[in-house]
Order: sequence, then C-alpha cells, then structure tokens
Amino acid sequence: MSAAEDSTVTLKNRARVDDIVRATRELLARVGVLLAASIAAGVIFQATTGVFFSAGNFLSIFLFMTSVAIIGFGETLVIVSGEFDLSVGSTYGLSSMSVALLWAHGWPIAAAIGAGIIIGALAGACNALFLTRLRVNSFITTLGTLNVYQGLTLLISHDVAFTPSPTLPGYGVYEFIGTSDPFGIPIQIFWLAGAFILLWLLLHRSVFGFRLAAIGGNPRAARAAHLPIERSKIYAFVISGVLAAVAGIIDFSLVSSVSPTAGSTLLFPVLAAVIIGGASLSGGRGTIVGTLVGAFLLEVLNNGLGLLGAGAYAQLLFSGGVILVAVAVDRWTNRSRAGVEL
Amino acid sequence: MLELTSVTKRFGNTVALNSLNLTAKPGEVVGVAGPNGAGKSTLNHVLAGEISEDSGTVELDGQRLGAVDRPGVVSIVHQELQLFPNLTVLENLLIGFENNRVTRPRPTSRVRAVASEFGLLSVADKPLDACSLVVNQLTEIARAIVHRKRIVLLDEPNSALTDNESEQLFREVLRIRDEGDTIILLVSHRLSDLQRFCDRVMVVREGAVAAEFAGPELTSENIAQAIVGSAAPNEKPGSEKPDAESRAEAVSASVVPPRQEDNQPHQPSGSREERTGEPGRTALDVRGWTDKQGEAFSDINLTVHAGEAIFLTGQEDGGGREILRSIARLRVAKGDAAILPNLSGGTARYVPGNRASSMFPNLSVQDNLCVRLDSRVLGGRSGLLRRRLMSEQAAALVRCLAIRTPSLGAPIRALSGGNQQKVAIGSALASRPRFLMVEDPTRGVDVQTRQELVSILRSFLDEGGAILGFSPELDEVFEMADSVHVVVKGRLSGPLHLTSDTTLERLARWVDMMNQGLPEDRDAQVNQGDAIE
Repeated sequence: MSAAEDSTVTLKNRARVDDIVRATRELLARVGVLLAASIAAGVIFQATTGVFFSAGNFLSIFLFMTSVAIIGFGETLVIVSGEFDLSVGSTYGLSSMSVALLWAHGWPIAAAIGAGIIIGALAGACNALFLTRLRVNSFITTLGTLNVYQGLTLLISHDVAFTPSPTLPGYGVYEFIGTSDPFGIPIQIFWLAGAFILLWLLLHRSVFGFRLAAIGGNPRAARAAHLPIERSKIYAFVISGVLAAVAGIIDFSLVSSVSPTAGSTLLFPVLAAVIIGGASLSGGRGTIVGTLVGAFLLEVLNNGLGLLGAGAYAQLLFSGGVILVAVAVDRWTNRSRAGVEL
Repeated sequence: MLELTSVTKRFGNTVALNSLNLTAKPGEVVGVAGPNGAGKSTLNHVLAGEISEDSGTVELDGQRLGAVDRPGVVSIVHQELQLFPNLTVLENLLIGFENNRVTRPRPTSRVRAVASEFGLLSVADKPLDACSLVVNQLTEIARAIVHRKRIVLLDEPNSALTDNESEQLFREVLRIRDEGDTIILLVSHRLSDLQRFCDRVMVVREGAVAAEFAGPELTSENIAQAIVGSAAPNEKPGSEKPDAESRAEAVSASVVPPRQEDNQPHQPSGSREERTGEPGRTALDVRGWTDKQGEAFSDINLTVHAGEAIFLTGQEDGGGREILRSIARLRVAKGDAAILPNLSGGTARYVPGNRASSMFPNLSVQDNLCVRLDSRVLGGRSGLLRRRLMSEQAAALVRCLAIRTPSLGAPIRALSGGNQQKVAIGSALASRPRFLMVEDPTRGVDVQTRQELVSILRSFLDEGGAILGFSPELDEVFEMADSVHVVVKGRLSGPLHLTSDTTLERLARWVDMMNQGLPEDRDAQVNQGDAIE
C-alpha cells in the first residue's frame, strides 16, 4: 500500500517534468531541424548571392510565406482530423475573385470582403457535406471541388484578370489589407501572428482541437466514444475554407490584382508545409508551429533560388526534394522512437 | 529441441527479458503464462525474429538460431494473423510455393492432405475474410505444417473464439503434438486452457521464468499463485465464500486498488448478496427491441437497475454483442417503449471490447483518460481545455485504478495491455456515469489485473452504478454478473440470478442448455435454471 502511494505521489511531480521535457524535446527536434535547415540554406544563399541576410529580403520572405502558412493552418486542422482538403487553392482563387468582382460591381469593400469569406466558408461546408452526408471520401470530394471551384472562378471572371483602379471607393482599405506597414512592420506579420495564435489555441488548447486529434487518431474509438465526429470535421473544413479565403484576399491586395487562375499552384506548397511540419497524413498528428516553420523553410528556398536566378526547374527540384527528405527523416526518427516503446 | 539460454532484452531502462531460460521438445505443448508486462510479448517478438536479443542464445537442436533465420522456422499464431484475407484458404496454404513466376501454384497432394487433416477442405475455395476466425487460425497452423515449420507459437489463440471453436482449435493442436515433429508453445491468460492442454507450463515474471509446473503440480491454482507471486499476500478478506474452489482464477482477490473517496477495504466478490436487496432506479428498459441494421436480434425485453450488473453471454454469432452495441447507439435498433441511457450527457458510457476501438494511439495516457469527458467539463464556457483539471482527473484515475504508467504524459502504447484496458474503463468512468456498458471487460489481461478490474466494476456498482455487459467467457461473466441472460439466435433467455451458492459449473450447464435451444415459456427457463443442481 505505502509503495503504491509513494509511486503515485512521485508520479504527479515526475509527470510534469517528464512531460515538459518530452514536449520540449519533440518541439525542438521538429522545429529545430527545420530552422537549422532554413539557416543552412540561408548561409549558402548568402555566400552565393551576398544579399540573402538583409532586412528587406526577410520582409519579402514573410510577405510571400503568409498565404501559404495561413492556408496551411487550416489544412493542418483537416489533416489532423484524418481528412484531406485539396480544394484550398481553388477556394483561395474563388474567394478573391468574388471579392474583386463584387467590389467592382459597386458593393462596399467591407461587404465584398465579408461575402468572400462567406464564400470560403461555404466552399468548406460543401466539402464537408459530401464527406459527412454522402460519405464520399474527402480526397475524392476535394479533388472534385478543386476543379469545380476553379471552374466557377473562370466562369464568373470570364477568364479575365481583374486589377482594381485606385478610384474605386474603399481603395484605401484595400491597400491597407495587403500592402501597408503599420508601425513600420508589414501588415502580413500581423495577419500571420493573429492567425497563428488563433489556430494554435484552436488546435492545441481547445476542446475542439483535442477531440479533432482524437478523431483523426482513431476514428473507430471516436465513434465508440460518441465524440462529435461529423460536427468536428465540418468545422475543420469550414475553417480551412475561411482561411483560404482570407489568404486569397490578403494576396489580392498584396499583388494588386487577381488572376482567374490564382491559387492553382498553391496546393503543393500548402501540403508540403503541413507535411514538412510533421503532420501525419493518416491523421491525429500535426502542429501549427510545425506548419509555420514548414512554410518558412519552403519560402526560404524559393526566395534564395529566386535570388540565385535559378530557373523554375530548380525550384521544383528543391521543393519536391525537401518534402521527400522531410518525410524520410520523419520515418527514420519515428522508427527509432517506436523501438523504445515496444 | 528449442533451447533459450539467458536471453536478455532491454528497452531503454526497462528490462523486458532478464536472462530467461526456456526449453521445449517436440511432442509436448509448453505453456507460457505471466502477468501483463512480464515479457511474454517480447519473448514472442524474439522468437519471431522481429527483434533480436541483447545477449543470450537461442538454439534449435544444438544449432544456434539467429534472429534472421527464425521466421523460416517459427510460425506465430495470434489474433492479428499474418495471412492474406483476400485469398482463399487453399491459396493461403500455397503462398511460398510459387516455384515459377508465371503460373499460379497448384495444390500438391501434401497441401491437400494437410488441409483435409485440419478439416479445411470444405472451405478451401472461400476467401479467408469470409471465413470465421477459427478457420483463419487453423489455416495459419496448417500453413506452418505445410511449410514444415519446426516451432509453432500460439499467442492467445482463442481469446476471440467461442468455446466450441477453441475446442476445435486445441483438438488440432494436440493432434500435431502427438505427431511429434513440431515444438508447440502456448502463451495464454486462460489458466484452464494451460491446465488442460499443456504438458508443462512456465510462469514468466519480470522477464524470467519464475516457476515451472508439470504433471500433478500443473493446476490452475498453482499457476495463478505463481503469476501473482509475492505481490499479493495469500490470505484475503473474502476467502470464506463457499464457492471459492470453483473460482480457480480468483486467487489474487486481495489486490484492491486504493480508492480516492474511501479507504475501506473492498471485497471484490464477496459482496454479491448485499446488493441484490431491492432494485434501484431503472437505468435501462427496452421492450420489443429489434435490430434494424440487420437481423441479429429481435423482440428483446431487458431491464437494468441501479446497483446491478447484468451480463449477456452466448456464442459469438448469437447476437449478444449486437444487442449491447445497439444500446450503446452504435447500431440501429427500435423498440416499443424504452428508457435508453443518455450517452451524450455523460450519464452512460460504453467500453468497447477490443483496444483498437478504445485507445487513441496518438494521445497520451492523460489525454486518453480525459477524452470522453463532457465538453462543458473539459472546456468550460470558453471552449479552451482546462488542463489543470485534466491532469488532476487523470492523476486521480491512475491512483484509483492502480494504472501502472511511467507518467501521465507517456504515450498510451507504452502501457501493457491490461493497463490499457484499465485506461479504457477509466476514461469511461471519468465522467462519473451511472450506467456502464462493457464488452469483454477482461479479455486478454492477466489474473491480477482481472481481479483489479472486477473490483473496480464492483465498487462502481456499490456506488449505485448499473452495468450491462457482454462476454462469451463464462468465468468472466461469473465473476462480475448479478444476473445472466443467454442470447441464442437473436433471442434472449430468461435471467439466471447468480447467488453466493451458484457455481461456475452450474452457470456453464445452464448456458449450455440455453444454447441448445430456448424454451418458449420464460418462466420455465428460469425454473429450469434454478432446478439444475
């Protein structure tokens, strides 16, 4: 009896220390490796181009990684729940094109943006509907809506890019969203930080995120435990759609125009950021920090290769190679860890 | 002859096998028993060649057997079979005989002979996933024979089989033994099987053989004693109960987890009569409950009151499991009038029978214990996790259920099977339900853990909870139930009330009689149940 009590008393203290140590070690292992890889790449780029480590260049890295990271946060939720959302790029394009056209047709800018975000939410809800009501696998569903949303964008835009004229009412607000720098800091940093904090709380500190991880980790157990599987997945897809819309609107302002094919190349970097960030494609595992750092590493490579003047082929080779290396390293480290737990 | 000499295997700081010695000859069945976490699984993995030992030797007929050579010699039969479910029984036997790479292999006369010896010819052309589990396991053993494997290791082979199926399985095992070519090891928690089918039983504790029994010494009692070892004293509070002998596996009844609320000594199985006074509030009442998702059961009338444990039993295909799942709202069923448990509000919880449906492998022990808490408890108004509450809850449950875990944040996979089962039951108890549905609550756990689980569920009943359970294993039912219904072909028998003078034999005879066919008149069933000596 006394031995049992002893062990439970120490259990509590040891649990705290052990768990903090383990959590820190895992975070450092993941984030640290990615940051180290980014810095190593940076050093090489600095040595070859001489302009990589400059404030201006870092700002541009942040400017361009913001949308991938924000969409990646939403994708992380979906992937943690054990599903896929391949339609994020199309949702991004559809929402930003909708905002542009509504605004051009005389809607106030705020209303247009609101409508764009609602369209993003609806796109996500539509994906979730196919998944939860009709039981179509999310990979198939979003592969379909990837094309449907892209098609809708082409349809409403008549395949013409839109560049707002500075005389449109609300142009100041529009500029503020993606090109301003309050307190001398690009506004993207604020959007990114806001989305990061919000999604971090949602995935790692809320009941919703906790259950989402459980659902993705073992759907059968989740069903037996009567966890709100469908509701959680619907929320995850809606949040993913909304974040894609938000990213689309920020980029619409950043690049001062929207093309009918906007977002069509986003799927790869978004998925890559999430996977490099350590999310498991079979669900249940994934972190917001990981996705953020994954997006950072990808943009560092993009940026550096751009500075080097390497062609498109080099960027494809590198971004593809990085994802392969990241997954291979992940498998390898997990294998050694699993050995200890046998 | 298989000979393991001081085999040692460490995982980090844990010594899984501590200089273990084991010998086995052809022509005998050697049993391996031991509590959860004793090293049985590691021994399996070592013999299967999946992991290699840190030190020590494994020899077969005096020749050293390296880890890479073991898969060619050793065949492991357990629940997760190494077969191809999409292929037929015969095709599975032929895997490995693809001599040329173009045509499909044809069954040789030897393969046919082995299949017929095992009684597999009638299902030879059926895909394996359409066959019952026992056919799957027989196929696995037959495959070992076809491939002339020297060693067959049976790892809890019958934990999911009905009694008839396990008889069938062991008949074949004994036949192979008598042929005298194959070395057979049987790892099992079922003491009665070890007693009946083994020639020698080794009890493994803390990674080494703690005791060995053969001949007249080979009894369930001795094995149980050795499994529990010195961890529990021999005298126990409830030992004066009259049917102590029939509860051969209840030797370790004194292991009582410390409760957080009260520290009164708890008598796990002596308290049966005390609770059969007056029935409490109705926890479940269904009338004419009929399966709508299939035809597994129909017209079930069932009532469960607070403070009582009602168990359904019967064969796997009888429909008992389906009844329980339908009440847990995992299967569609309808009835005329029903008081159904409230699963979303936290007043009722269901504990699945297999751990693949109850564990979240990506979550820690703490998170597994808290995952089924109500969202209002978990998150309060803000929806943000109350992490302090979670760790307090989890620590209380770990203490209360005596869950052996390195820490609260440890991954759930780090726990042994029995402790995982405690976590599954703990996570259901966490929300303080008043009605618990349990399926095979002690399947595949050792004697000691089983006693602990029984006393956990008993104290849940004492606090006014109600339990509806399903288990095909009668000794499990016997230890936990107040009344038993047999489910036969989707119909429910009348109840048999277990009292202190009911013996396991009598329960078994009654269940057997019900399985032969239910009498039409419900009263008659009960009377018959009571009339049996």
